[in-house]
Amino acid sequence: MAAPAPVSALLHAVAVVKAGAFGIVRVVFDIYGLELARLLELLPLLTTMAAFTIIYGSLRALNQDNLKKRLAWSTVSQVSYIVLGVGIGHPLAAIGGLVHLVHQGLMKITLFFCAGNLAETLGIHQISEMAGSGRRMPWTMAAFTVGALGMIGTPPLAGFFSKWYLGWGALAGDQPWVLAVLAASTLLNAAYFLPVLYRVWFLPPRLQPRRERQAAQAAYRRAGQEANWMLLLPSLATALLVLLAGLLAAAPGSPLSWVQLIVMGGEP
Amino acid sequence: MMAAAFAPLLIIAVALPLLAPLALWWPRGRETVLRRAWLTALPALLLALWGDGGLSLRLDWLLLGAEFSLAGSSRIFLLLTAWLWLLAAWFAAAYLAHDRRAHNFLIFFFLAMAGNFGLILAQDLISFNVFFSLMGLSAYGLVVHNRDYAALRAGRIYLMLVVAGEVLIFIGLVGWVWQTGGAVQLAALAGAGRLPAPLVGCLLLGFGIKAGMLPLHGWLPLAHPAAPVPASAVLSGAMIKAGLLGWLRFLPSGEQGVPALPELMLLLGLTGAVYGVIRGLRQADPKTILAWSSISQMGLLTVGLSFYLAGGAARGPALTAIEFYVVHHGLAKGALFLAVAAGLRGCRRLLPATGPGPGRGTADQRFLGQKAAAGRRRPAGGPAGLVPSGWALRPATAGLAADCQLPAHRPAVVSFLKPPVASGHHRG
Repeated sequence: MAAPAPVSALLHAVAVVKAGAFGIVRVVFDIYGLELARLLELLPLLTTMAAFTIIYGSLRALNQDNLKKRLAWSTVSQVSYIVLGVGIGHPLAAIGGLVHLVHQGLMKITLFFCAGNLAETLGIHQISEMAGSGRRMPWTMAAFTVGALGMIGTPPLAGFFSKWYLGWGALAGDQPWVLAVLAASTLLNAAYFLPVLYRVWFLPPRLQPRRERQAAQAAYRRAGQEANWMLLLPSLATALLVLLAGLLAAAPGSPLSWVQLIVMGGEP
Repeated sequence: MMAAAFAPLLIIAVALPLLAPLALWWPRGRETVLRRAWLTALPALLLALWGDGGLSLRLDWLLLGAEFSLAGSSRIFLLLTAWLWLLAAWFAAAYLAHDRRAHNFLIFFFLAMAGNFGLILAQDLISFNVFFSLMGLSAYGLVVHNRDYAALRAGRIYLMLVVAGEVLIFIGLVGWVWQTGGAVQLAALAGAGRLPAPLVGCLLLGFGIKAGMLPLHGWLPLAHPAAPVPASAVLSGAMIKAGLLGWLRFLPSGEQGVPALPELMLLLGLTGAVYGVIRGLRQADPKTILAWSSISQMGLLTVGLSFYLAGGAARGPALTAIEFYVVHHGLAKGALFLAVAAGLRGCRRLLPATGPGPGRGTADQRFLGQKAAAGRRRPAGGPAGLVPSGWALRPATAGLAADCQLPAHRPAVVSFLKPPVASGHHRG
């Protein structure tokens, strides 16, 4: 969180958090195997802890004013979706969990890139300062919007399909209470992302001369106020992937079809 | 032969309004886009008029396998919806001619239009859900367009309910896909197992929010009047029907049905039909009256739906009645909303209850008076003022003739009977 934007983007999307999630996936599926884990009755414990983390992370994210802090608590919550998918112990839920490993990475890296663009270009770190930034940096904020809506689980973005398979797996695995966790988490996600989007797109910008000057010194300003193209390009590329991973979910080569291959190939 | 020619229209009808906001990128072209906005609804209208029910398009690579067609009730819903959106877009050209943020309005207008057309054409769970949320979320931008206190408050309540509705619908649809074993096509629902009652309840409430079902109707009398007139017309005429279409498609009926569901809907519908009128009686703002009338009318449609869901011999006639009433209410309500702005300029004088107080209604009506006066002064500026007013008034009279037994429309009727105030008087 305190690291520079590209580092925290990687930390939250792939490098560190996913190593932990990947470790849990390996332990359950490869070391114990789903059957033994089920026999030992370890999975309900895993599911409960994941569910608790999902709700707790979202609740903490609600009252963070620092953008990157809010995103960080959101990561805490979202990575537990992966654990939840594993813990339900049904192949369909496992698909949802594993595909979220990719989907959450794409969405969260987009959000962190955009947070970096905001900080570098306009010197904005707090959500309360983000008013009207959509008018000043339309492309960055469009990418941010795609990432945030994806996190909420708006169809047809990537996050929707993670939730779709998690919910389906929960019903098929006879654990309908997980649906309530998904619903609560979706509502909380909306509660901490939609006000940000409202601020960005629906409020007039508030200019802060000191920060503006600093930003000018950083030479990241073009004629407009959009971020430098080298900052902009990665966030747009990942946002596009969030959209495509959802729109083309059934097409061969999509994260979802790969995960289906992995899970269904491993299950008899 | 014909079907092959019309198949691309299934895509174009949705893609054109979906991509239309891109045309607003160049500030110079925005006025042209506003004036030509009605063209974006034209492919959908042509499709509804001349496409046939067997027309279908399946895209296996899109989402989880998307399918679009005109089957079932889609065609009649599309006919009404496309016609209303076209008229509203035509109307918006005059209504927003002097609005500096007209392009802002148009972005959400186009997106909501694409969502509304898409959800009608969609024949699978996922693309229905995609377009339903596209419509619901974009309509937020229409509701808050005026950016005053009433609009922002209405928008906040609307958005909260929309998100809650999305979550409920998501749970219900996941339930369906669990029952069908992974098939997402609407056709697969009929052969699926029984949906457990709590999940049916989620669908009932989720779509009920959009349809203004009784305990969840709170957003409607706030949001429909708060939006600019062309948006209110489609909100109340077309988009509200999306909730009904969702019920029609996803509530289990006949043998799959949940025992007490038709009775519950009958009760809710009848209560809504009466309650909406009673509340409408006490309103002063014509747009709020129309919104309460929508709640009442949707109550009647809910009654029809309850007969449909009960199955048996009533199923066919109930569906016909629902489809007919949807078209009737859509056209009448759309016309009434447009008429509020275009034709009923006398409303301000005829509703002394609003007075000169800080009420939203008065400001709105004063604004409308100015708008109408502006339309008079510059008859050459695009399809200004008068053309849509003539268009809207004809069906408005028809709508009133059918609806005038409802006391909720009393002020509107009165304003027809009294001579309109001269526009010069307003400007004084």
